[in-house]
Amino acid sequence: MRISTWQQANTGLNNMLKQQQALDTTHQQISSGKKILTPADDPTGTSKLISLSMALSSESQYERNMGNAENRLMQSESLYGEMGNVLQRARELTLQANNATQTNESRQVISREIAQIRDVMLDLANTRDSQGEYIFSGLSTSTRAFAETATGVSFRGDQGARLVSIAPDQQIKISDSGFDVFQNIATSDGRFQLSAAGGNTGNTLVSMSTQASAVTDTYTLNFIQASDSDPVTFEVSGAVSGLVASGAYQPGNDITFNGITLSVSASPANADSYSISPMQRSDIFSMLDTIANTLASPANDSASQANVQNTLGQSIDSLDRAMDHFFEFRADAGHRLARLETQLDINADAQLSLQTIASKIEDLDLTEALTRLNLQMTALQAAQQSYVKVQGLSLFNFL
Amino acid sequence: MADLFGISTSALLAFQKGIAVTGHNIANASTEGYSRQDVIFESAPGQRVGDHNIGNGVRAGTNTRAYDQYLTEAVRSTGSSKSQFEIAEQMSTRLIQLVGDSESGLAARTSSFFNAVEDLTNNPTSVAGRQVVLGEADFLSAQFRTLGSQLDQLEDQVNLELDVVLSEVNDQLSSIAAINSAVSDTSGNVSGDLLDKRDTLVNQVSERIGLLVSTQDNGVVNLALKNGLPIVTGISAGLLSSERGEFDISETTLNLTYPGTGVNDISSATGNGKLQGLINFRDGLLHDTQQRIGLMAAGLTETVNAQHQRGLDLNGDFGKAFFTPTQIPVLGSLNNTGAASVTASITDVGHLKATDFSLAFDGTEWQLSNSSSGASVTGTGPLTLDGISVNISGSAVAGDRYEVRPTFTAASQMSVNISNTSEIASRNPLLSSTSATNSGTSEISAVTVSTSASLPLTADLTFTFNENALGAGMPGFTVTGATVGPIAFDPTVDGAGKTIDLTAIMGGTFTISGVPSAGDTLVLSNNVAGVGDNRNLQTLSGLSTSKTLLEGAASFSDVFASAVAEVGIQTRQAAMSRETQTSLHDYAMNNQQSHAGVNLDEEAAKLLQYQQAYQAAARVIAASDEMFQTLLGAFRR
Repeated sequence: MRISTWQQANTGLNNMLKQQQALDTTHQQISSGKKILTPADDPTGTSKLISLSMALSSESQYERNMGNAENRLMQSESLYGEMGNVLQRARELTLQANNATQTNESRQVISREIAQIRDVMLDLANTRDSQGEYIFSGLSTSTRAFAETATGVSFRGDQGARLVSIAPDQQIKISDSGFDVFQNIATSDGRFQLSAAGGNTGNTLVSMSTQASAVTDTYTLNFIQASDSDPVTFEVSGAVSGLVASGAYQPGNDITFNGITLSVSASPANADSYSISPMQRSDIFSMLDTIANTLASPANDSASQANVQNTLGQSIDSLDRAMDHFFEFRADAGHRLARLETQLDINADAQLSLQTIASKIEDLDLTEALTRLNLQMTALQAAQQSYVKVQGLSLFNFL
Repeated sequence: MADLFGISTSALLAFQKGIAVTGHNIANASTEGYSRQDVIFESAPGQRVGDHNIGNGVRAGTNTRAYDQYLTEAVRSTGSSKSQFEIAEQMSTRLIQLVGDSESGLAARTSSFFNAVEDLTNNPTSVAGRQVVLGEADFLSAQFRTLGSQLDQLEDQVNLELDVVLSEVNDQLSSIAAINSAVSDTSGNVSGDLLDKRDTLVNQVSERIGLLVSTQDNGVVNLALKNGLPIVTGISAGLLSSERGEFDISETTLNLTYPGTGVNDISSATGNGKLQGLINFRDGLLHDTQQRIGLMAAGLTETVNAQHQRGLDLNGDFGKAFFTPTQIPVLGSLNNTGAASVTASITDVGHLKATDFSLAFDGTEWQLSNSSSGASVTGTGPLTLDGISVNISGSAVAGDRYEVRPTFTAASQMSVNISNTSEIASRNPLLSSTSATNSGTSEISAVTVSTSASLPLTADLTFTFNENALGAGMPGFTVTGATVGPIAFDPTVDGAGKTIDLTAIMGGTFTISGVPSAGDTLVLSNNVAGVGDNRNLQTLSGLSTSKTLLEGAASFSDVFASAVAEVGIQTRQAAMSRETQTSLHDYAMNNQQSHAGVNLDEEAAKLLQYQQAYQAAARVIAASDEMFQTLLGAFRR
């Protein structure tokens, strides 16, 4: 084929331009370390990279959330521990007070210490976090959780709890409402509630014994002794279920009805009355208030001493329940912390694997690229040399 | 002897001419479109002298021009495609620079915004955290606006480029007509250089607009568009111009004015070439990208707004629109004669499509149709289609048309609507609680508000468990605080959680779980003081990954990723087509050059040849002179 001079020059030039373009691409890839310079280089890869970077960004957000949650939960955990310790002290004091050798004066001393403990609990319940938010006021975090009123401590927050996301579709609770922590505590044995009527004159000690399931009715236990010579009889009647048990009272014998067993000792007086009602939840402050108040009032006769003992006995049960209660919250916070630890590991793995995938798509194989660069440089050099040589060939040189 | 002088003189003259043509070839070795010329030598017939017939020397005939119709046509048609894809690649590369940055692009900004919201869930009352959310939202909407205006600018540049190309073509067309006139005047004896010039002009026109070329016997070329409309016939040339679009000023159409055929819209008849490349890019990839980015902006705006308006802000008020709601432009046709007023709004962002809609009146009814899918609805209005609703008032005339563009300008409109940090609606308007006297374990959770119409509650809603709420042995909750019948709840079946829908009363749903005892009460109340509540923020930040757009098929970043991928694919295709067409064009050019191009070695050889022949002819004159001298010498003796 005939070749024109323009054609010869142009072909050589075009080849050199192409080589330069390829060389420039390789050079840019090497200097940026990226395989994909524009989305046109790999459109599907680019759209994958966008999704990957979104996913990576939310994983690192989850990591931040978890860091935050960890701080909050650690603070809660240590608060619950502290509360448990304080209650342990209250329980020891109550046990000590519930001893026949105590005098009115020594009980009053203990009463004052119990009152102190109650104030400590109140301070703990109104703890704020580093942001100034009340930890235990639910969602109303700018409202002081518990306030002193004429009728005792009242909860001013709400029952909400703050959740934060720690993974797609996984949230963790980072706060407990004061309602659940301080207010909603099961009392006495957690299944039923026993209280003595104020006008009781006997010195009976009634304590709770076994009960299979929660009491649903309110029962009244009445002791009847028409005259001192009569035998003491008892009657138990439920508000809904009517008369459920009656008979002669034998000191030391348990009274059993509807699956409930009460152990009764000492001597009841006529018209002594006790009510057995479904378990009522109480707040920790009134629990401590009850103990303090009970100990503060002098008990000079056997009836009022029995009353003190009945109340303290129940209070100790209640304190046990409360300590369990705080322990549960502490354990729960611990579980959530453990879950966070696991989730942090999973999160780190997820981030690593996302980064690895992204790197496979966009990062340059440097060895390959450098080899390519060398080849391209050699090719360009060859093209330049041959261009000059071919252009130098002309018949005119010999004319 | 005289004839010998005559013969050699004719040779001297002929070879002088040959050397001149060779020199012309050498001089034009690098001239674009030049076709190599050649001298045809022919012998001059002689006269009979006795038995012999002796020739009269040589005569240089007319110059020939190396030209091949087929090869020239191949160069022309491959040149059209090549320049079409060149401009397509050039334009889409500019587009890719605007949308393509994955590090700082819209996807990254969107995720920063939602991360800021998520950060605030850790501490909803933090003023600093709220400021960050507003700042990120501002940044995000600024990014949308910037991209929106950059895309608009790119459209303006394309239109400008179109006008430049049109005026170039007009110049070239009139030059071709002028050469045609010169060619027809010289009646066949045309210089090859003039024809080369005209071929070059025709090539230049065909790089811009696809042509049908025909040559008349008298050497005049006629040009027509691919649809047959003439643009140059003999000495008359057409005039190309751009006209504003029927609806949008920026969507220009191309017109051809030609004597005899009047004004014709040739927007879709430009054949292969630069004009086609520009129009395809503008009406195709560029508009498509604008629509997709707009869908992302409108989707983000409407979805975030809807959720934000379901929450309560720090002041306890329902949230305002977080971003300024998307306005839908409705453009009337230039040809409308009626006076209808048309407005459109987004009613369901999940069904919104990244496309325009056309609205036409036939005298009795309106038809709203999706310009890409063709789906349509008819009626007297309001018309609802694909997540938008169109309201029409005023009097229209049959044939009136409108264009509705829900997504096209959405990115340019995006801005943050709230300015005060306390206006960020972080909390759920309702709060659940259980009574302290409950002995069971039931509780309310997952309170989800989907409309704030019935909120705040006029009174707390109290749900009291009753074993026989719905009749003997049919347990459930009776409700006080609102007029609604008892809600069935069987602890043995529903203990794991039962979702209750009370949209009419509290604007949404909630879940009751656990085992209640008789008389246990659960309460739903207005969230009056819950400033630390992050539930609405949680729902807001959850929007970041949820597939809320395109009928639940795509998240915001999916829409963006698909837009980027589309630009990437189209750019790649344009680059590949450009490469293919370039090599086809190179091949055609090589073939044509191989036939018509100047080879300097060849010219050097010819120069040598003609020079030698010239010297030889001169030698013949010397020889005849010697012969004459010999003859004279014979007589001198």
